[in-house]
Amino acid sequence: MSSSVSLGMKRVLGHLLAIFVVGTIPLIAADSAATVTEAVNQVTHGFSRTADTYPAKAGTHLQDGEYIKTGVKSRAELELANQSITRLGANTIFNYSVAANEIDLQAGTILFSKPKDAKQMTIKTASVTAAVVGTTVFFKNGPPTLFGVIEGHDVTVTIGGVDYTVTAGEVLRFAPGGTPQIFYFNIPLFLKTSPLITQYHHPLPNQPYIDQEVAEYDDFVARGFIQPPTEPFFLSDFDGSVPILPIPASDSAANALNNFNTPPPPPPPPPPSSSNGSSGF
Amino acid sequence: MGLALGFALTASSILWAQSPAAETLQQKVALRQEANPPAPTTSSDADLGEIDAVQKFPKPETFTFSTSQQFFYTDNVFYTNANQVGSTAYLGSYTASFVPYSLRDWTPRITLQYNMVRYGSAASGDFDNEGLSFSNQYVFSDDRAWSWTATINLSRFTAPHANDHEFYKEVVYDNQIAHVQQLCKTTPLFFIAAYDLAYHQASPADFDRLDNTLSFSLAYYPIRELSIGPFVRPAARIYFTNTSFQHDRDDFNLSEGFDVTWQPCKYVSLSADVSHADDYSNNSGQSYSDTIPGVSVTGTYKF
Repeated sequence: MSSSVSLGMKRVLGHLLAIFVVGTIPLIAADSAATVTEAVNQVTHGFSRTADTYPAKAGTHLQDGEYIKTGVKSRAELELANQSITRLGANTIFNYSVAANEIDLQAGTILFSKPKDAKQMTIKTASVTAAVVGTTVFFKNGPPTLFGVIEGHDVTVTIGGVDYTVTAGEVLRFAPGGTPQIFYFNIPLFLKTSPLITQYHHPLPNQPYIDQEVAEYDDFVARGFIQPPTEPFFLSDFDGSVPILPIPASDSAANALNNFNTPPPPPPPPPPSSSNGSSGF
Repeated sequence: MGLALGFALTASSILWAQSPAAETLQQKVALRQEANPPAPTTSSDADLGEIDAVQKFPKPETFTFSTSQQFFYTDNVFYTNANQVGSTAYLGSYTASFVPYSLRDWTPRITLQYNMVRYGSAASGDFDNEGLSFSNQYVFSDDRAWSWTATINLSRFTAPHANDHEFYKEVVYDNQIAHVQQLCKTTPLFFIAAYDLAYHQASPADFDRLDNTLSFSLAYYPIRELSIGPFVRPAARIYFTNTSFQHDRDDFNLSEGFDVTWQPCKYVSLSADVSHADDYSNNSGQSYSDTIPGVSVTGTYKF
């Protein structure tokens, strides 16, 4: 009897434990700042680069404030809690703060794709800060620092307190001591050759927008709007409008109006007819 | 990696205006800052991939809507030689243009425009104007410094206080060669020149004429948002219709002026300008002069 009670108690406890464990896993997952969705070669995570680190693999949950680090010839992909995808190149140290809604890129290279929502995120290095809304960008912590926008909203990049706007298809390059420079780049070539694109298996959340940007780029090439660089090389917000004569020949029109307003005087009356001979009756 | 840097400045210019009322309207001319552009190159990064710098020429927007509200004074409302009438005036201008398709060097454009002119103390000079134009612009050179624009413009004028009586209409066939050049690489000072050959087929036919017009303008940008500059525009006008008040009429028209435009954002610009024109006609009764100072605000939206 007692053994059957004990067995029953164990089953109840076992079920309770199972319920607790199973129930806790999604709570942990929901509480995590990011989830590793792909990891190749040496990928570690931890709360401090100097403290103990742990290997990260697909499915590893990163807590708020945790670092993730990739080694030589290594790469990783994370899905942040806001559905954004971040791909890390080799030798990259990356930290995401949920509280600050901020990515701290301490070293290396990332590709970041944020779904089209209105919330702004910040990606920063020691010298450069970018405010990202719904867009796909890449960021290399230099020197030189490279920040490129593949598709999406304009991005405001702040360097030394000065804001620069980088639009889709542009790269901002910055080396300490120099002036930030912005130029257009070949988007399809980048997408074909970048390990951050070609070596990953999951689609990016903004892939349809990237495809749209590539289609527009190809159309611009076909119509001659995109050319190899020549001197003088420039980024231009060339207006392209044809000047229109606002009111052509309004002097003639005003003369005509004046004539209309002041019609010519009526012709003089005919001279009185001579009556010589006609009144000879 | 080499880099590209540069930008264009959109200048207000008074190149194309052919009338004092129009002279104070702003026109857009593309200008480029050529100061020290670094040569771009391709870079290959093991982690990023190939970043190949390219040159991108902006595509004209498909739709453009703009309005200009202008307040000015003219000392010669009717462009007459005698009995000149001076008045303050208001010009409201509304423009919509459509670019169906474009290439880097070719831009066709269809434009609809409505203007209303109201005089403060000469209501008999008030008029409304509707215009429809078809234009083709072709850019000759890679640096976009030379362009050719052919325009056909249909225009009619009505008197609002006379039951919208149509007192004048015309078709203008205009061919224009334009040149834009930055005079000094380190200074944002631009020179703009143009030659227009325009035939006006008018009704009443008294005003049929052929205009040969040269335009020269300078635009200086002390800051990117502000342009200041003078213009001068000599023109030879040949009239083709003999009437009771003109015979073999040929005019030499010389206008000059000065413009200041502030563009605080890409949608809005504010301008102040003054212009003076002297028209010398071999039919002395047709000669006239006028002086027009004015201010205007222009709003533009493109997409």
